[in-house]
Amino acid sequence: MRRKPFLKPLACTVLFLALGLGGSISSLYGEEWPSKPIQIVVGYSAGGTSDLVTRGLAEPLKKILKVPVVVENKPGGASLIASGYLAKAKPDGYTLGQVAGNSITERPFFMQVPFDPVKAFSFICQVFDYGAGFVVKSDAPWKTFPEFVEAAKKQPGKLSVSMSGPGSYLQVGIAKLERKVPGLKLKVVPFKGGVDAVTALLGGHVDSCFQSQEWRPFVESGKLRLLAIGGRERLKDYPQVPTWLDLGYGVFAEAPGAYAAPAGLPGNIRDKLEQAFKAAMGDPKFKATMKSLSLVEVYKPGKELYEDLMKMYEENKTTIPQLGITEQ
Amino acid sequence: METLQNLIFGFQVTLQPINLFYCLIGVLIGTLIGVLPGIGPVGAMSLLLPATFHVSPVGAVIMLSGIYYGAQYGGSTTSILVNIPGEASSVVTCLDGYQMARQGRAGPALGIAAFGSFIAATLAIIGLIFMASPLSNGALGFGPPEYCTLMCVGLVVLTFLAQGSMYKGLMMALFGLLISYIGLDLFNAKPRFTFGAQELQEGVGIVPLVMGLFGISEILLNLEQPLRREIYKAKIKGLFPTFQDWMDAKGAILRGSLVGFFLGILPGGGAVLASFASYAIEKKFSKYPEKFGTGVIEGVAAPEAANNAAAQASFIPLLSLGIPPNVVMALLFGGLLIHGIQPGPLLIQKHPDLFWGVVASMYVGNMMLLALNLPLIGMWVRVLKIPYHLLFPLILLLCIIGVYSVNNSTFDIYLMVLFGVIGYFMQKFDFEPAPLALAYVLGPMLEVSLRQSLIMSEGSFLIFIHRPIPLVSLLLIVGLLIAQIFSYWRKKRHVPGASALGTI
Repeated sequence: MRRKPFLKPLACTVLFLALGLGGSISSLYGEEWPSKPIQIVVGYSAGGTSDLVTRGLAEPLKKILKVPVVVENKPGGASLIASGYLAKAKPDGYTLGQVAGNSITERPFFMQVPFDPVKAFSFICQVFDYGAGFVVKSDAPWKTFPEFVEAAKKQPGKLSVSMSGPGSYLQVGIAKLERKVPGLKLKVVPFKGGVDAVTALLGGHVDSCFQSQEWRPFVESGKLRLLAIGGRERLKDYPQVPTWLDLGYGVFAEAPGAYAAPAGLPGNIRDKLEQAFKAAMGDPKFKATMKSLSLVEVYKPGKELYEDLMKMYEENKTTIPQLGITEQ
Repeated sequence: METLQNLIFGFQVTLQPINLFYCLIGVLIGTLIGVLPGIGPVGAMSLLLPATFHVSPVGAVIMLSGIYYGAQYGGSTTSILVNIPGEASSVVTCLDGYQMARQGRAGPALGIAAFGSFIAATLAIIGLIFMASPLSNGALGFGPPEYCTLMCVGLVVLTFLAQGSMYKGLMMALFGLLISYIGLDLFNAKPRFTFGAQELQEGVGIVPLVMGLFGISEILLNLEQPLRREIYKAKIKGLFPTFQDWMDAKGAILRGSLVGFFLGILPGGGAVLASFASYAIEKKFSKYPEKFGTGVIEGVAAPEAANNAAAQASFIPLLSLGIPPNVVMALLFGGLLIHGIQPGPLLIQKHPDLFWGVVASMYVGNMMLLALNLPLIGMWVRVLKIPYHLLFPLILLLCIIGVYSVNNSTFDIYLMVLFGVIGYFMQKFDFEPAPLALAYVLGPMLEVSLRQSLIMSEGSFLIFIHRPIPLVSLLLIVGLLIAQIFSYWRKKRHVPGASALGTI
């Protein structure tokens, strides 16, 4: 009697099962991390600044960690959708994400965020700051920022400033400035993106623009004039332009760009990641990328970053509602 | 003449074998991407962006650009063959293109789309070369009030799209407007109509919307018939446009190119608006407007010319001013930054090889695309002969993959299916999807620019009259409306009881 040909399919099935299980068993037994590709989620579309920084980091990270590092774009909701996705991911060190500092410190006061700002993330480190510059057209009558402020005070609510919104750190920054400078009231015109905001200024539709760095090529070519920096430090290529702190307003607007993992990430993996990121930031190609993107490189270890973010968060709990921009 | 010298220089750059190679790869991938529904040039460009790190800047931009305008060629293919817009700018091509395919005239439709695209792109490139600088400065003059009134003109133009009952068309437009408002409010970040769903904070994406409304609903409708029956008439009447086709379409191609060129320069304007506008204009000025939507060649030629002209024109703000007018250009912007090139007003002076090389490559690329697409027509037409019960699962699969690839979101797939079902019922009751799609595109821009304008004017509507462009636009709208009422009265007098609403 002919033997039924079951050995072959049986053998195949066992083989496949073995291969499949073998893969997952290796991670069950805690094979040395990292043993499979690492994914970094970015909340903006490919080609944008946030995306390019991450891709610039991914290359050296791949060499350091010796596993593929893949960037995945999940744009939407001003990076909140990606952050929400990250918060729900498994804290096994294979899913990381780029998290904007003010998703933690500011946005929760404007909108519902899909994560707990205090508890959701285990921060690896800060890599950069988006920066913020206040620009006007080069043929405008105001040559310095105090001049602009004086002119604005004389006609409250008349001079306009464009920026990307809503609920952005730029909007919060301007509001905080208005609070600190008595008599200053600007007309805030939000746009859907930084490029649109700068374009509006170029076309003369607004008087000024407060934006991260989309104004760079135009300041360089002389079409726009940089009056002030919103961040804490002056820009290396424009050392003569003062910050708001330099000018004595006691206010700053910063937007840290950091990388994090879902909370619950084992401490030793987090530390290894922090070391890897720090080393990656030293890579010359990455430094060149940062330069071409005109971003301010800022390294802050995860623990320190978290503490600073929490401090800001607590402060904003009282400050932001007072600014009166959360309800319309 | 200096421009001629620069052009020759540009061709020298482009015709280097390595750059020709990048151009070829770019347009090949672009065509493929355009044909595949859902995944658009942005997706492909972002995937290839890291690969360009190791390539010269000129080569990188040539390749990435090729993907973009290549996709405009491919996008019409699925619109015509299976009523699935490969891209938002190919939605209008579905209206007549698909009908032509059902009548066995897919070949001529594809042919006129390819030729029309080529002619339009060539005209746009000429426009780019000679008018780049003054045009982009002119485009800067478009601020919120100008956009607002432009969108209003768009809404009026939209009414010309409706084929059947005007009431139903308007209802669909209102529905489209409503859908467009789902999402985060730009001014106070409050979610609207999101029902708490995080995924809806960005609103309903255009890809799930149009793929569902046009593509999925068409599949559902076709499934009602016995699957063995031919969805497409068996007799393929010729593979290329006939002389008559050319005669009919030549005006459409020229007008479409013009419309596409000017709308493409405007940031935020672009190919989608251009395709709708050119279709509506053709229909309005045609001798047989009632035939639009049943398979009229102008209905394919005009939007295809428009979206290609717009794609070429959208390079103008980027290359001459450093302002990317749409997402694709923004990606290119990023690509340039990575190579250490700062896009901006000084780009032409600092990197003339890049600027003129890219311009020349556009022409070379378009020629390659024509050579690529024409022979493929025969192949595409044969695809239609695949029995529908085998074809539709393939189409469905491509749609699902396509819509997922945009945002890596499964929610988008559900949305697409939902709109497919909605579209199915809409078709059953004679409601047209085209006004909905156009209103959906116009809605956000209209609302945002209106509110921005009012902030700028501190609440006064006079801002729309004090500036030249909005004033002209408003007068145009009033003029169009008066003309419409006039022709209604005249018809009423000659044919008592005729309803102008049904004949527009």
